[in-house]
Amino acid sequence: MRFPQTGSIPAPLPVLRSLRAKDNPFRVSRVLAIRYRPVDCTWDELLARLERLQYQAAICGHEGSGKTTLLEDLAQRILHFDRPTHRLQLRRETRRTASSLLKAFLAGASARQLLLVDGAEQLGALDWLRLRRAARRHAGLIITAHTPGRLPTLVECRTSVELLEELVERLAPQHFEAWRPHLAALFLQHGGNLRLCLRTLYDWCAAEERAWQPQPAAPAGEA
Amino acid sequence: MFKRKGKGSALSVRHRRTLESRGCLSLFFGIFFAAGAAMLYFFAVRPLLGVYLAQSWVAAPCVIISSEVGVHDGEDGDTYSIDITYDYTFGERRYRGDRYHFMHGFSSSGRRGKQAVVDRYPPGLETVCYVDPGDPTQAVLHRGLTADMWWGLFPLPFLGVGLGGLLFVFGAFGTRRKTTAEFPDRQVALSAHANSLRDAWEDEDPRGSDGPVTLKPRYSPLGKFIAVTCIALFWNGLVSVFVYKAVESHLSGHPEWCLTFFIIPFVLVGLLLIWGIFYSFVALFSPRPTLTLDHARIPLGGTARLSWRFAGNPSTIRQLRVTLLGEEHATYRRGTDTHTDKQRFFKEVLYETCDPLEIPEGDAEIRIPDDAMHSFESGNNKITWEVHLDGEIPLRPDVDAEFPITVVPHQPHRADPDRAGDEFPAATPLSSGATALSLSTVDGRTAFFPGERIDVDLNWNLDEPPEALELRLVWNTAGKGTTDLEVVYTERIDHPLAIDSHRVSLTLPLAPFSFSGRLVSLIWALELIALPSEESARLEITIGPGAQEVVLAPSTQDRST
Repeated sequence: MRFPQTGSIPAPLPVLRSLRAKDNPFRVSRVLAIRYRPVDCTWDELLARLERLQYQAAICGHEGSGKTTLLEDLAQRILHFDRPTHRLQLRRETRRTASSLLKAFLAGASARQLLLVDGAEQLGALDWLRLRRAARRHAGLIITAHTPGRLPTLVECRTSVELLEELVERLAPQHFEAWRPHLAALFLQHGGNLRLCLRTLYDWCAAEERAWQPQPAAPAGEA
Repeated sequence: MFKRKGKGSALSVRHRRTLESRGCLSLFFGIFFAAGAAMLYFFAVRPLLGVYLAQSWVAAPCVIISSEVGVHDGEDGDTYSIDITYDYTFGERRYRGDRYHFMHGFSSSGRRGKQAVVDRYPPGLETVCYVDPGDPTQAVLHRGLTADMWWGLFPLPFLGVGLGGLLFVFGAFGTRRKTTAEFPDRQVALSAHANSLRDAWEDEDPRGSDGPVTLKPRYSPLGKFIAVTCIALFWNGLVSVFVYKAVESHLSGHPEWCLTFFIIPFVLVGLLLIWGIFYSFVALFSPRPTLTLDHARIPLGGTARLSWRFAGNPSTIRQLRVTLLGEEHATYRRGTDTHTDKQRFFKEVLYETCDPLEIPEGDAEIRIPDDAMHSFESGNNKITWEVHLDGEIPLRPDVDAEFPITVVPHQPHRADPDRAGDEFPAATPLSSGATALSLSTVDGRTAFFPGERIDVDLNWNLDEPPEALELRLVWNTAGKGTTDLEVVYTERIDHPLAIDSHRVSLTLPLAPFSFSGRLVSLIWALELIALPSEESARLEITIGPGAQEVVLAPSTQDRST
C-alpha cells in the first residue's frame, strides 16, 4: 500500500493548556490498553485458521498496523488452549545481535512451546533457516513481519483513517470533533502508521495553549 | 519487617558474549588489520596524541648543543632525519633532549626541508622548548603539526581493508554478539543511577564529601574523531572495491555505466565521511575545556561553583557561553521501532562573554531551582541535568561540549503537622465482583513528604483464604515513553483469613519524587495483591517536597543571569 506524501499538518484549534504526562490521553499505558479487534472475522475463526495452518503462520503488515498487539492477544488466547508460548522480540536497534538473541531464545524453549517471533524480518537468511529448522521440534511458529512470504499469512493487518478516528474518539472524545478534520492528513503524513499518528497526537495534547493558536497569515508584502 | 527487593530479582538481564571460530578469512583480514593498526599507531596516533597532549606542556629555556641532518641508507636511496640535541632547564634542574618534533626517529626522502629546519637551530642558539610538567624528561622543540605527519595516512588502506573484511566476516557469521533479554513493555527496573542517588541521601552532606570534581564531557573530541574515522574507514573500505571495479572497466575501454551511476551516491557519502574525519581532526586542536565543580552533586535549591579552564589556544574563541540545561527523555519501544523524545524544562545562561580576557578561565555559580526535579534514570525514562559549553571559533569547528551533572534531592523534608496533603478516600478496588480488596491511609491523606512514616489500613473480603497477601510500595512512569516500574518495598502476610483487616506502618523513601513533565510522569502507589489469584487494589500517592508533586513546565524562554 502506498500513501501520498503531504505537507505539514496545520495545528488544530486550541483546546488544552500544557498537560502533565500522566494526564495525557495518548500516554503509552492508555494506548496499549486498546487491544486488537479482528476485522472481517471473529477470534474463533482466526484461531481455527491458525489450526488449519498447523500453527505455522505469519502476521503481516506495515509498521504501526497492530501486528505486535495482535501477537500478544493471540498468545493470550492460545494459552487458554493449554498451549504455552515462548516469545522473542526483535528490534531494529538489536539487529546486529539478532543471531545471538535467536540462539538464546531457542535454547530456552521447550518442545511443548509455540514459538512467537515479533519482528522476524530482522533475521538474516541463515538465522531464518535456523529458526525454521528448530521450529520443527516445537509446537509451532508464529511470526510478525512487514511483508508476507516467509510463512503462510494468517492476518494482514491494515490501517485506515476510520480506524484512526475510532481510536482518537475512544482515547480523547473531548477533542475528537475539533481534530477530526485533521486526522486524514495526519494519517497520510505518517503513511498509515498509527503508532506515529498517536505519538503526534500526544504532542498536540502536550503542547502549550499558545502553541495551539492558529497563526494569522502574514499580509502580502510583509516578511 | 519490610523486605527490600533485591536488585536482580525482577530484572532479568543476561549478558553473554560468545566467541566463535573465525576461520581463514578472519585470520587473513586480522593480519591486515593488526599490521594497519600497528602502523597507524606509530605513524599517526602516537605523533598526533603527542601534539595534542603537548598543547598543555610548559615552555622552558633551552640551548642547542648540536644540529645536523641525519643520513640513513635505504633500499631505494638515502633517507634523512632532523637530529638536534639541546639542553633545557626545568624546575632548577638541567635535562638533555633530542626530540625536534613528534615524528622523532622517522626518516624520509627530501633533504632540503630538513636542512632548512637544521639551519634555523644552529648550535649555541638560545630558544624555547616545551616540557611535560608531569615528566620533565619529556620535551620537544616543535609541538605543532609537521608535513611528515601526512605519512600517517599510509596505513589507512591496510586498516580499512582489514577492518572492513573483519566486520564483513563478523556480520555474516555473527562471531561476537551481545545477548540482551527482551522485556515486556512494563518493566520492573531498578537502576544503578537510583542507587547512586540513595547513596547521596544516606550521606550527611547531600553534595557529596568528595570535594571538587572534574566533570567528564559526554563526548570527547578524540572519541568523536575515532568514531568518525572508524565509520569512514569501514564505509570507504567497502565502497573502494566497487570504485576499483568501475575505474578498471573505464580504463579497459568497456565502461560499466550501471555500476558507475549506482556507486555515485555511496561515493558521495564516503567523501562526506572523509570531510568528517578532517573536521573532527581539526576540532582536536580546538581549545579543550576542563570544567570543575566544587561538589560532586548539587541538591535542589542548592548552589555550586563551576570553574572552567581552556587548554590549547583559547584566544581563537570569539564568544563563550555556558548554559545549564534540564531535560526530560522518554524512549518508546514497540514492535521493531524505538523512538526517543527529549523535552527541555530548564535553561539558564550562566555566563556569556566576548571579552578575550574572560574566556580562557573563569567561574560561575550554578543555582538549581528549588521546585525542579532531581536527576532520575530508569530503563526508558530519565531526567538529566548538564552544563553546555559553547565557544564560537571563526573558520574552525566550534567548542561544543556537554558535561552531565548530578542533581540530588534537598535535605530530607519531614512531615509538617500543620499541612496535610489532599484528601483521598479508600482506593477503588480493581478486582471484579464484590469489593474484595481495599486499602487506605489511616488519616485519609495521599500526599506525603519524602521519608514520612505512614499507616495503611488493609481490608479484604475474599471467597476463600488466599495463600498470601502482599502490600507493595511501587513507582511507575507514565507518558510518552515505555512504562518503567519499580517495586521498592514488599510486606507479605502469609495464610491470612478470607475476611480480615490489617494495619501496616511504613516509612516512605526519600526519592524519587513524584513529578510530571510533558513527556514523563512518575507515580507512586501502594498496591495490595492477593496471591495466587492476583486480585489487586491500588492507591496512588504523592511523595514530594511540601507533600506535592514536582511539575516541570516546558522551558519557553531562556533564563539569563
